[in-house]
Amino acid sequence: MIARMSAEGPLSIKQLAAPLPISRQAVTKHLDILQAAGLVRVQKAGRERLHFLDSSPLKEVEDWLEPYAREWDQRLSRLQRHLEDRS
Amino acid sequence: MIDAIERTLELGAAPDRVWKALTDANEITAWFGDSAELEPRLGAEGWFGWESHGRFAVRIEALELETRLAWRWAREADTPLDQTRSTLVEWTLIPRPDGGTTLKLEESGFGRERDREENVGGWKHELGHLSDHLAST
Repeated sequence: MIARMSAEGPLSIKQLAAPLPISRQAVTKHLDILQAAGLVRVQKAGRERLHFLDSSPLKEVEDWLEPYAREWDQRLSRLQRHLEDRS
Repeated sequence: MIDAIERTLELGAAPDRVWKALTDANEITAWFGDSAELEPRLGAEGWFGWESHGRFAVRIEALELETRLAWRWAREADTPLDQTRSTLVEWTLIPRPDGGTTLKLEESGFGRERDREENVGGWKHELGHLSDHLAST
C-alpha cells in the first residue's frame, strides 16, 4: 500500500483494496494505523476520501541519524586503512 | 529496524585479522577512539575514550570467535552503563571466498532517546503496532 501511494499518489480505499487479497475493512484498519503514525494523510475529493503518503516522519529519522552514520563511515574507513596497512 | 545504522564493508583482510582489530584494545585505538580498555570476553566491561569527549562505558553482550561481536555502549560520557541511555553495536564477520571478510555493522537503540525527547508524536510506537497488525492478518 505504501509503495502504491508513493508511486501513484492519492488513492481511495476502493482503489487501494482492489489488487489486494484482503478485505476493504482490513485496508481501512491498515490505513488508520498509518494515519495515526503520521505516514498517511487524507484529503477529501468530492464524496471520496483519498489517501496519500507523507514520508516526512521517515525522513526525520534519517536526518536525525545522519551524524551518527557519518561518524561510522569515518571510523570504518579508518578501520579499512588500518587493516590494509598491516596485512 | 528503523532507528538503526547499517553498513557493510568488504575487506581484503581475513576474519581472524579483522576480529583482532575489533577486539584488541590496542588495535581498537588505531581506528576507533583515542584510548580503550576492554577484554574480548562475554560480559566484559570497559570503556572507549576520546580526548575531546571523555570515556564511554561499554559491555560485551555477544561474542562468537571471529564471527559475531556485540557491545552495548553508553550515550553519555563518564557515566556507568546502567545510568544512561545506550545503543547496541553488532558486528558480523562473514568469510569471503577470496580469503577476505565481509564485515557488517549495525548500531541500534537510538529510538529510546527519541521517545524521551518527545519530538516524534509516537509514530515509532505506532509502526510497531502496524507490524504486529500485519503479522496477525
